[in-house]
Parts: sequence; structure tokens; C-alpha cells
Amino acid sequence: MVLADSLALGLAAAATPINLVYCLTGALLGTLIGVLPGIGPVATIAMLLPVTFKLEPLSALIMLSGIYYGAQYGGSTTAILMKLPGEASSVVTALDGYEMARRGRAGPALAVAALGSFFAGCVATLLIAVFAVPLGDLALRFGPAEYFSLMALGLVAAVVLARGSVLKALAMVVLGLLLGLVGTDVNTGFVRYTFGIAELSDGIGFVVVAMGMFGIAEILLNLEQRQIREQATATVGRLWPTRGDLRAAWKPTLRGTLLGSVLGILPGGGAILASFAAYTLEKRLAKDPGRFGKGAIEGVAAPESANNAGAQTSFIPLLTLGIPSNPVMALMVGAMTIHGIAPGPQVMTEQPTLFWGLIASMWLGNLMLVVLNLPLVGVWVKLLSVPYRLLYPAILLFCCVGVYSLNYNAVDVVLTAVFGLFGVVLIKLGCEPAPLVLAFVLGPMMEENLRRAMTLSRGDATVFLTSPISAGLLVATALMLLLIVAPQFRRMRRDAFAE
Amino acid sequence: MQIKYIRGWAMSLAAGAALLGLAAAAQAQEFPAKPVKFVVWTAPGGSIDVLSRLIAEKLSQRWKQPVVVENKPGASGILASEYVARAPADGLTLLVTINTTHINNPVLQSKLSYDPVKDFEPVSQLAIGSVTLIAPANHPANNVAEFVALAKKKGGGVNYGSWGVGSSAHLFGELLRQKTGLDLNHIAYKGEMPAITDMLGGRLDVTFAGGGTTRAQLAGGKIKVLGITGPRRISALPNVATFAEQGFPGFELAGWVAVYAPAKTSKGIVRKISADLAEVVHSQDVQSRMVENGFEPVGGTPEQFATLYRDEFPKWAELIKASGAKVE
Repeated sequence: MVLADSLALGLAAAATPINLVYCLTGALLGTLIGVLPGIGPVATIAMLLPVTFKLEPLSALIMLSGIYYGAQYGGSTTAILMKLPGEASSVVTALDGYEMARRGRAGPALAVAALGSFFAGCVATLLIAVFAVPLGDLALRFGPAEYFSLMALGLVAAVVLARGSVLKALAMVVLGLLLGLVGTDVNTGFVRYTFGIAELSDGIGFVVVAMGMFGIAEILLNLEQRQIREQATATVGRLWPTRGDLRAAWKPTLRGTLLGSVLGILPGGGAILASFAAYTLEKRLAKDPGRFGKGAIEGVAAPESANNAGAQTSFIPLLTLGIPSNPVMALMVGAMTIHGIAPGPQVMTEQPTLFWGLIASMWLGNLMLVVLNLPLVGVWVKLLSVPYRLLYPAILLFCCVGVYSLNYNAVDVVLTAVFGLFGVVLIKLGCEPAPLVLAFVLGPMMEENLRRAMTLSRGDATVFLTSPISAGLLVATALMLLLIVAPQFRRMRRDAFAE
Repeated sequence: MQIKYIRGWAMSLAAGAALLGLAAAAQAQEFPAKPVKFVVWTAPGGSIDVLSRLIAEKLSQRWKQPVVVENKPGASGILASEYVARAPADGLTLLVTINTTHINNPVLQSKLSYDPVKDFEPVSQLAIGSVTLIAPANHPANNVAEFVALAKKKGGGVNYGSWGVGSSAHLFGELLRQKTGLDLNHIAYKGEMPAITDMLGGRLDVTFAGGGTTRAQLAGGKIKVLGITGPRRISALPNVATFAEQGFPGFELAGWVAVYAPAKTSKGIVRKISADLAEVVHSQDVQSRMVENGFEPVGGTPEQFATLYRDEFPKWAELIKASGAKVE
């Protein structure tokens, strides 16, 4: 009954009027910046850090974490309505969500995303409470060798996920890996492929690539096919999902939640990997994978619940070990130190009110989001009726502001534009940008971990097989590769992606 | 909806700007007559960023002017340094930095877009930041000497972590290798936390860490501290003996946090900023915050900082060259 007592303590701390207000403020602000393309939770939390100086530590953390999970809700909204993933983790949602919107089913897509996120948020919050301590230890078991193998699996999954030819998908993966090599090599300190531009010495930013290839490219392509877009937006469709939609969506939601909870704990691309992995899993399990990429509701429900679960569980390494698993969590570390709290395992024992209060606030925040956002879905849907001659310049402006505010340098803005044009060329050539973007994210981490594992073992490559976790992941990777090559699967895949 | 929001936002921005303008006109007499900008090159939320925001807050109360922290991360601080070096020399744009931009970069990089001496006016050394050598709590050794003896007896190599090639952690690790003849295997990470994670996971034997992180991790009970580099013990970890105290000389250098103005900033303004910074650094609450975050408060005069820089530069340069670290 220790858990019940702790949760009661947390609820009491989180449900004070003032903390409820901060929770609501954070969650709504998060949704807003999630909806606006280009301005992500990292930039927002960074900008708001000084504001939290004057708040109680618990209120400050409640508001900041509200921004983070609120953004997960909001990010899916632009992904579905405009194929502009507000968050990296909403990239796959855009595939089927946007197709649904084009088919006049934007309403059900948004509703399923919100309900799936809420369900995942509740489960993940409970998971944090129950498994905080033991799960913190699981993350510790992941060393360089394990990470490398996990990422290898992720990249092979990216090839399976792509539409069109396997060869083109592989080419995109390789191109993504090459782009990921730009910048300083961690193991030697050497600078690679920067052409003497100092701004490139830390590599090309993920937001730059993602926003260019997905956001700008989509806008450019839409300018070309104006006629079609106008037609697609004429019908918005009913808001509420049909009984059939719900029946199709509940299992993917459950699977996505579980997958996301596990992957969210891992440092690095946890939430991103989670949404990609959940999407792939659904496609594998589907009786008719051909519907994916053409508006399958499972393709919205699974990644949306996975990324929200991942976003929630990524608090576990932070709260239990003081180890931030992504940039947002790094900012939370900063917020905690501003208030004189040293992040680490001692927070749970020394500051139980803060620890459990934050956890309880996440559940309250998720509840507020779904209660407020389902009615608001109508407002978001209205965005579609805003004329593009106003919407496009506004989106481009926000993209520019967002990219510039990451590092305050103009090179990033120029690069985003370049990647936008590049994205248009790729789509014209029938190459999918998604595998490129995933390889771009995973590539540098993969290289870092490969070389770190090899340095640690002093050149002995068997480390990848002697660790059971790593060996298991590599076997899964090999099986997936075999599947891609197998003639039977190739036929199945061709049918699946047949337009 | 979105459009309305943008319009509202722009209007409130304009209103805010107008208010700032009025405030500036009223305060035109004394420095600073306009808002001051602290350029910080570490990511938002990092310990230097947090320290800068704390000090900025105190200065803005004192000066009755906004003191804004602007993050210009990336390229080991080259972008931020270049930006401040080219800024007007009016004291309104200041660089808050660590030794990396003014010692490590010039030694490691043949072409640098700024000159650490000619382009800057040293203002104040805010603090020193020493680096500790830590091990998992269940490690049999309790200090540097025991660690070295155990490692020699056990044979085989020792894996240690750092936050990058050419970082002070890497430099001290290489120095330890040269001084003791241990087979130390350097594993580079992108920050101190991933290295600590790998150490707690049993993949590294020891790792280096900053004072604030060490203090936080120590409170969690999962690590132990073998020793601290730097000239003397620090207030954040009063019980941790220095390498020198333990019979390992050569580790006396410590990283610093300092403020620079662009070259040719008038002496009077530099002196005023320096004096105000010193008072802020020496105030009770700032001091205790700094100590919590592992910084040892300094807050001296521009001359003191310039002298320290001249003394330490060749020592660091020697250490960097001996480590074999190269960037190009």
C-alpha cells in the first residue's frame, strides 16, 4: 500500500488550485507550440526557464513537463492536418494521418490520436509510479553494444517502412547516414565534411533536416498541385470516430503504449524510435498492410500512443537516476538545479512531495488535455479552411523563427531551405524522405556506440554477440533483413505499397 | 485561429518593445543605459547557462536594466566568441565563457576566427570549476593512490570516460596515464552524464565529472570520489582531497568561468561591470547556489583575471600538447 500512499501524497500536492493552473497553462501552451510547426518544446521550455525562477519548484516542474507532453498532443495535430510533424516523434503519424485528412477523415484521425495519447499517458504515468525504481536499472543495462544493435534494428525497420523500391529506401538510409557524419567526430575530435563552416562543426541539426524535408518540401509540392489540395480540404468529415474505427484502433493503441513505454526509457531517440517501431509492428500484424500509407487508422493510433507513452516514461531515467534521456529532460535537469534540487536517485526519497506530485500532475494534465482538446479538435480542423495564401507564409515564417531560435544562427535557416528543395527533388524521384531522416538521427548515435563498444572491448568485435540483449537485437535485425530479401515478402511488400 | 494568435503575439511584442524603450530613455544617465546581453555558448539548462541566468537576474535588479541571456551554442564556443568579438565595444554585449574558448580552442585549432587576447577585454573571473575522478560506490579503492595500486596489481587495462577529445577530463586522464604508467583506455562521450551512466552500468572503471554533478551523484549514494583536480579543495566537496594532497602533483590546473567584453571597451565600464559582478558573486545566496552547483566563487578584478590567464595559458598548452589531442 506504499504505492497508494505515495500517489495520494502526490495527488494532494498536484491538485492544489495554483498547481492545477500551472498544469493547465503548461499543457495548453505545449499543445499550442506543438501545433505551430517549428516551435518545439525544447525552445519553449528554454525560453520559459527564467519565468520559473519565481515559482515553487513543484509548480515550475509541473508547468514545464506539461509543455512537453502537451506538445506530443499538439504535434500530432499538424502532422495529421498539414503533414508537418510538429515533433520528430509525430513523423510517422503524418503518413496515415494526413492521408485520412485528405480523405475527409481529419476528425476521426485527430480524435483517435488524442484518445490514444490519453490512454498511453495514463498507462505510462501508472508505469512510472509502479516501476520507477526497477525500470531505472533496465536503462543501465544498455551499453554501447546494446545501443548499436538496437539502432541497427531501427534502420532495417526503416527500409521495411518505406514505400516504393527497397533499393531506393536503402539509398535513402545510406544518404541519411552520410549526412549524419557531418560535424565533429566524438572519438577523435576531427571535424568532417564541414567545408570550413564553423556552424556545421556540431553537425546538421535534426530540426533543420526534418523541417526542410517534411515541412518546406510539402508546402512547395502543394503550391504545384493547388487544385487537388483545395478539393481535399473541402470536406472535413465528422469529428467522432465510428464504432468500426474504435474497434480497429484499440488493439494498436494497447500495443503502441506498451512498446512506447519500454522504448521511452532508453536514452536517445526513445520516443522517435517508439513511434517508428509501433508503426512497423502494426503494419506487420495487419491483415491487409496495403491500407497503410493510405489512411489506415491503426497507423495513427499506434505511433501516437507510442510517442506519448515514450514521452512520459522518458521521465523515469531522469527521476530515478538524474540522467536526462533527451534534450527536454536535460532542460528539466536545468530547471531542477535552478531551484536547488540536485537531480538523482535521492529526489524520490528526500523530496517525496516533489517526486510524486510531478507524477500525479502528469495524469491530471493528460486528463485536462483530452477533455479540452477533443472539443478543440473542431478549432484545429477549422485551420484547414484558412486560405493557403495566408497559411503558407505564416507556416514558413514560423519555421524560420523556430529554426533560428534553436541556435540563433542564420546558417540553419538557409540549410532548412536547401533541405526543402532537396526534399522536393527526392519526392519527384520517387524516394521517401522518412528513411533518410531516421538514418540521419540514428547514424551518429550508431557510429558513436559502435566505436565506443569497440574501444571498450579493445578491438574485440564479439562483444555484440556475447551480450544477450545485443545478440537478441542483432538476430531480430538479421531475420528482418532475410525477410526483405525473401521473394515471398518482396511480393507481399510490393502489393502492400501498390498505389 | 492561428493567424489571430500571430497578430496578438506581434502586438504584445510591439507593446513590450515600446515599454523597454521608455525604460531605457529614463535610465540614460549611467551604465548600462540599455539592456545588457550575456552571450552563453552552452545549451540552455547547462550549469553555465543556469549560473549565467542567476547572475543576470541579480545584475538586472542592481542596474534596473534587463540583463538577457542569449544562448549561442555550438562549435566549442567559437560562434559565441566570434559574435562577441565583433560586437560594439560598449559593454552591452558580454561573453560568459569557460577556459575552452580562450585556452583549449587556440591551442587545438590552427585557424580560429577570433583572437583570444587581442579581440577581448577580460572583465572578471566568476568561479573556478574543478574536475573530480569518480568510481562506482562499490569500488574497492577509496582514493587515487589505492586506485592506481589496485589497477597495477590487477593488470589489464582501465577504461575511463571523458566528455570529449581535448576536454579537461581527457587531458587529466592522459596526464594520469603518463605519471603512473597505467594502461588507461580513453572513452570519449558527448557529456559527463552518459559516461557516468556507463560507469554505473559497469562498462567503465572510473570517469571524470564536474563538481556539481559529483555532488548530486554523491548524494544519491551510487558513486564515490577518488580525488579532485585543481589548486585546492572546493567548498562543494570539502572532504575530497586534491590529487596534489594525495601525492600526485601536476593536476593543479582548474577550469574557470569568466566574463569578457569586446576589445576596446572603455576601462571605466569594464571596471564597473567587474566590481558589480564581484559584489553579486560574493552575495550570500549566489555563493551558496554556486557551491551547490560545484563552482568555487572567485569574483576578482580584471587585472587579477588577466594575470591568471597569462600564468595558466602555457601550462594548459603544455598539457594539451602532451595529451596528443588534435582537432585537424
